Amino acid sequence: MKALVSNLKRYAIWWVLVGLVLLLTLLSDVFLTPDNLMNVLRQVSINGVVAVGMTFVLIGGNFDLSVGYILGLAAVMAIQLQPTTPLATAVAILLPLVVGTILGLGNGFLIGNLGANSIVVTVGTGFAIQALTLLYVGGQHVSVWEADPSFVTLGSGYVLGVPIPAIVFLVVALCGHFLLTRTTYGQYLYASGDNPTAAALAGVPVKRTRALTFVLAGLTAAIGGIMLAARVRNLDPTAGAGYEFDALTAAILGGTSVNGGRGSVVTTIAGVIILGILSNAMTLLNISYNYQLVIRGVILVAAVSIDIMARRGSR
Amino acid sequence: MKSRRWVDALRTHRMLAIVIPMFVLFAVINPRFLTVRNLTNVLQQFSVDGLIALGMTVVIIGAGFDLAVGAVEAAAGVAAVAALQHAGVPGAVLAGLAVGLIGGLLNGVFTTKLGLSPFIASLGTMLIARGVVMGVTDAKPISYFDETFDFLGNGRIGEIPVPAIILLVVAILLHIFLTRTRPGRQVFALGGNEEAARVTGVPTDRIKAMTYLIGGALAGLSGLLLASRLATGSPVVGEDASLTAVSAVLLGGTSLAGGKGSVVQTVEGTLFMSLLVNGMNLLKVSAYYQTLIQGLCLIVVVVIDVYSNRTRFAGRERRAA
Repeated sequence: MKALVSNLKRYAIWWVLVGLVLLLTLLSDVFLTPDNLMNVLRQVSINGVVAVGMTFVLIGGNFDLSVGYILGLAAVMAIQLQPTTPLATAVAILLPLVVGTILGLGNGFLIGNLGANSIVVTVGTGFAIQALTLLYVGGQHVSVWEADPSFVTLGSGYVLGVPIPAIVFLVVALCGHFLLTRTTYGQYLYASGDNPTAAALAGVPVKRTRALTFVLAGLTAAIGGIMLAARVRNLDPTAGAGYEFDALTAAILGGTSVNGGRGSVVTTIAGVIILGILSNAMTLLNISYNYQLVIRGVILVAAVSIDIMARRGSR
Repeated sequence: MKSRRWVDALRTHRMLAIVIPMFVLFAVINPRFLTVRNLTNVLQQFSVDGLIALGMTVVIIGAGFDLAVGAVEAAAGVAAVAALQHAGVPGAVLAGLAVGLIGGLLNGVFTTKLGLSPFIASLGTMLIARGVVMGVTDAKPISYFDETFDFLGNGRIGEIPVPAIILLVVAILLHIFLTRTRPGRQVFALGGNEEAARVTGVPTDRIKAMTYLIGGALAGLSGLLLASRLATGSPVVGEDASLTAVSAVLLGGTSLAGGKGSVVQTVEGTLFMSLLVNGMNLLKVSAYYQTLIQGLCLIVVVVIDVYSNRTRFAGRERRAA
């Protein structure tokens, strides 16, 4: 019985998701159509990939506000490299991944190794990366005409009726889940986030463990950027801004703690899908983007407050 | 003994050691720098940024953080110009300050009543404030000219721009508040060690909320002055306000760990930032490079902050978060 209750509690976020789907099915005729659901799945996949990286950073007890800008730079790079042939496509995918990883390494060094405040550092690196992106393309829109079919498929293709971006999201999430739950690194990370002093005393390489979360965040942000580039193939150099907040909200909504030490990729996925469904519903209901921002702010505050109250109650 | 005191003073006011040579350098290399027009310009920008940085100083001394200042600044400017059309200058001033206080109140309620970390609380406030002001204005700026209102942002008394006088008055009042009054000292206690402060009878929640109200009100005032200077309330201003403000605060020497800092140091830090931006403008450095330099500047400052607080355990960052 106790196990059942704790399981219900643990998966509360999934019940919220089921309730939300039922509610929207009743409210809108279009919502529960395969087309719309596939649409939602494709829309959430970029945020989903970024949110997986953010989950690692949060479990380590930090924040990363630069991922949106890393995503933007990766997207711009992928297009600027003009993936018009299979070879160029390979370069346009690999190079942004390398750059994203290196930028993440920089964040990781400053925060993990030097112990600088993660919010302030990543606000700083975020602005610097944004400026680099704008300098790189001279502030202009970038686009690729006649992109190689493989690049186009990456953004808008299907395998057995499932959008390819959704498959990428799934693969990234599975890797993340495996890393967190089945490896020593995952154990180290939970320990480092929960109580860094105790973890360090127990021999956990806390600094390196935390630094690596930013590398993962940089890498996933770059993957997200490539997915964005493959889907739109014509974008504004500031297109990445805002992804950091979406990823953060999704992870927190899924129950990942902002104090570190707690969280999982599985619940982050639920958070991502809930956010995606909400924004899909708000769009179907004709709510403007600006008011969607307000609602997201309220959701963020509510999600964290509920989490805090639930934990106070359980003590 | 005496030289020791000099070293201390130099460390506390380290920014002056950079700002003064910088001033001289700019004056020598560019004849346009030392003109009344340019210096007025510097002072106006300095005042708008400085007010936000002063509020941020109080919040950070209390071990808080405020990401919402830019959005609150924009909302206050829009509210002020909207009110100006119907209720004149007093209405505009009230509306601007009221919006600032509402922003501060949201932060205060989120952090004290809901127990959110300063970062999440101010992120929520930021999304709400930015969303509302963009939604209400449909992302378009609103303009209205009124001679009296214009005086706030563009007027001069003697040769001194009015915003600079406002900044000076606020800085003096805030300095007296922080150093000479009980609630002011309690902000330091709160930031130094919240638990210890609570045990010794500091009303920590009330003091914390107060720091955010001060931060919000000053962000509102800053938005008001900016709107007056441009005769326009724009919903998109202030995107990088928190970046500039935090840079100025940390450059001055106030620590992110909380419990330490001063208004005077922040004024010096802001002076540096304003001179840097002005110097880059005069040297025709592109806006993108300026953003890059500001971002890098913030990173350097944070690293310096880490090294000057080495004795504290690195994991402290989580409390500041």
